[in-house]
Amino acid sequence: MQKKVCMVGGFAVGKTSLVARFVKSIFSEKYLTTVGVKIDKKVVRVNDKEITLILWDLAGEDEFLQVRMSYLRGCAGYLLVADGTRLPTLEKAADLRSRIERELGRLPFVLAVNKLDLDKQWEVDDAAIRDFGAATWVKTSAKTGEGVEEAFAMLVRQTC
Amino acid sequence: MDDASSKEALQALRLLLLTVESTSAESEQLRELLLGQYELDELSALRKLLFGEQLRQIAELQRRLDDAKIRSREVSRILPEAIILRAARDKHLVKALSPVFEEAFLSLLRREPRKFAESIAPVIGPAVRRSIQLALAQLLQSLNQTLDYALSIKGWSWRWEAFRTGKPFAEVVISHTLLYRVEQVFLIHRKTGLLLQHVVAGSIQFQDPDLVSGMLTAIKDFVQDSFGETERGLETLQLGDLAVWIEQGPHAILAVVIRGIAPQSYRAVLQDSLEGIHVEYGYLLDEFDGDAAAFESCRPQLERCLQMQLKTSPASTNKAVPALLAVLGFILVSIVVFVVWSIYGRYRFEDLVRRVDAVPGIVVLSAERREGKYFISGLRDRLADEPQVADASVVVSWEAFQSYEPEIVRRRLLSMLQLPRTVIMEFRDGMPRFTGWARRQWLVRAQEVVTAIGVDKADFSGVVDLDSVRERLEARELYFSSGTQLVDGQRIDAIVSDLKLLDEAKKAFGIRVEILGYADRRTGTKRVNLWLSTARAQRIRDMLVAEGIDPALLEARADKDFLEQRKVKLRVFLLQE
Ligand SMILES: Nc1nc2c(ncn2[C@@H]2O[C@H](COP(=O)(O)OP(=O)(O)O)[C@@H](O)[C@H]2O)c(=O)[nH]1
Ligand SMILES: [Mg+2]
Repeated sequence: MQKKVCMVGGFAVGKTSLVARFVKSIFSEKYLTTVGVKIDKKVVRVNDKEITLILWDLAGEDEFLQVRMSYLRGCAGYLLVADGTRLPTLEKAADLRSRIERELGRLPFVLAVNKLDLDKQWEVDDAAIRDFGAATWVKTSAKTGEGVEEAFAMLVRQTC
Repeated sequence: MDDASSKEALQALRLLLLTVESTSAESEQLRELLLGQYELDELSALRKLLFGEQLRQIAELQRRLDDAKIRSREVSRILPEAIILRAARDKHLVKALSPVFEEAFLSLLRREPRKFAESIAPVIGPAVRRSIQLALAQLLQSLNQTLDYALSIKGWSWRWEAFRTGKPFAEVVISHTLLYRVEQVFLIHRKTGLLLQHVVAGSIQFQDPDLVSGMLTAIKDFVQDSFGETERGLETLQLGDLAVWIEQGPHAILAVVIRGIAPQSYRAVLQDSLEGIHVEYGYLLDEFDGDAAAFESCRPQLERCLQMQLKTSPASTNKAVPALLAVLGFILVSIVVFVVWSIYGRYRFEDLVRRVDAVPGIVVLSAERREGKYFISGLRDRLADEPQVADASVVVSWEAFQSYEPEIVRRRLLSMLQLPRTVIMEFRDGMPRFTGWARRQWLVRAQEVVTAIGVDKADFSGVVDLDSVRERLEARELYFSSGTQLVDGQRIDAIVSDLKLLDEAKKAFGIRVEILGYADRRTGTKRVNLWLSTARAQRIRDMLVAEGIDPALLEARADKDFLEQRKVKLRVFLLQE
């Protein structure tokens, strides 16, 4: 069983780092800047079923670059990533989510608030995360690996 | 009833008659309206009168519709045409009929496998033959190609390339003589970019197809987004001599990786395959949820896309001729190689025999080739070196014997003589010559050994017999007239030359020479005599040292035994060996 899963979020929130934590990449990150997407693969087991995740890491969104909605077509769910040290990235995540829902309909997603290792500098508090209204959310650190496996496992379970 | 109202009534009547058995709501009103004016059976009669013929036709139609038999007969008349019409329009009929046929077919298979086998046997035979023929033809073609190049210079450089890269030789030949070859086929789910199926030609090395599939979809989307949606979308990606051809269907994408330049007609092959897959797997593709197992069965369709075409070499229109030539050439080369190899083999063997025979202490008596093996036999002295025969196909056997070759005699002498460090043995003109210093005991034994071994002549003249020297020295006496004055005419030359012989061996044998002085005990006091004896010995020592004898060798003292003579004697001590 294969599933296409996308990494979505603002610029430099840690999408690529989270994927790198989760899998060993064979493609270079050059693809991200040229084509705007890099694809990786990871086999996970959920409920004794083997699932091959095809991870689409999309180039981050900033004022110059828009996330290509076409890349999200057909994905079973997405990991919506925000940077805990930058509150605006949570707003960006909300914006992206509503755009996805407008164009592709409601898709399962997990909100990952990243850079947990820098929690001293966090601008995003639990209340803000709860207000976001995600069915599932998790705090992660691509640096220490904390919460990373869980984030993907949650996402897989949501899409089953 | 006035005219207008009678017209109205007639109209209503018509309606009523048509709907008399109907129960719909709007006609209900009408019925009530009219039934007040006419009796029902009157109406029926009227109806018959007015619509008799139509009623009969309606009844007839009714009968035809109700009677299944008649209806079947009628449908059967138009069915073939209907099928033809629909089939020409779209593929729905195929879709609709597939499951039915499939089930019927399977049930027949299950129920009557024998009947089934019998009925398809006439088809299967030729089909199998044809497919074998095809496979053989392909094999022959690539074999010819391979043979064509096998013996050329190019061929050898390719062989080297194959060796270097570890690819099979055939693969290298193909890569050089290729017009084009489809190396990989990806069937990709259009919406998700997930890989449905992947087939590969031969032993091509490739990246993870799941990822490639995703990337291809992404690139395709990227191009489409960036340059606008065209009718067909991205069709070709070119990368050096590799091309990716993409064919898009509504649900699936077919992407093939082509090395070389494929003809445009190949596009049609892709379109055909993709259409076939859409017809067969339409529902599955539409409802695909990530489980690609069902698409395993479309592999044959994809494998059909793995096409390849080789360059036909312009010189050879008929493939069999160069192939035959190649085979003949190959045989010729094999023969030459074989002949050269066996000559070389014999030469090597003869060379080996020569080398073995030249080993001191070895005599080769016979060397021959039997049943593909080489045999060497002969005589070998146990002191001879083991001959170096590394070749496993050479069998050697030796008889023991005693060799008189100088080298072996030398070894035998060395092993039996226990040559002291002070003796050197050399061979000159086949005769052992010894030089140095030795005790007599050793010299005697050495001469015995030499004779026992059977050496005719040996030269020991270069060996100083230390015991003889000692005897000579100890036999000498030097006389004094009075005091420390030597009697006239006495010379020490002989003593000096003997001592010089000892001097060189003094370390090895720990040689010490005592010079003993004597006095005439009949005159002088004991004390004077002791003094005189010492002085005489001392004097001789001084003279010998003056002649160049090492003072360390010499020790001068008075002998306690007083004799009647005024003289000096020597005593030689040999401490070792
Ligand atoms: N301290 C810390 N830095 C992180 C973490 N995740 C990502 N980064 C850093 O944030 C920057 C942007 O990360 P990247 O993965 O490229 O973000 P992307 O643009 O969302 O793909 C990089 O310098 C990362 O090293 C994290 O969990 N902790
Ligand atoms: Mg990134």
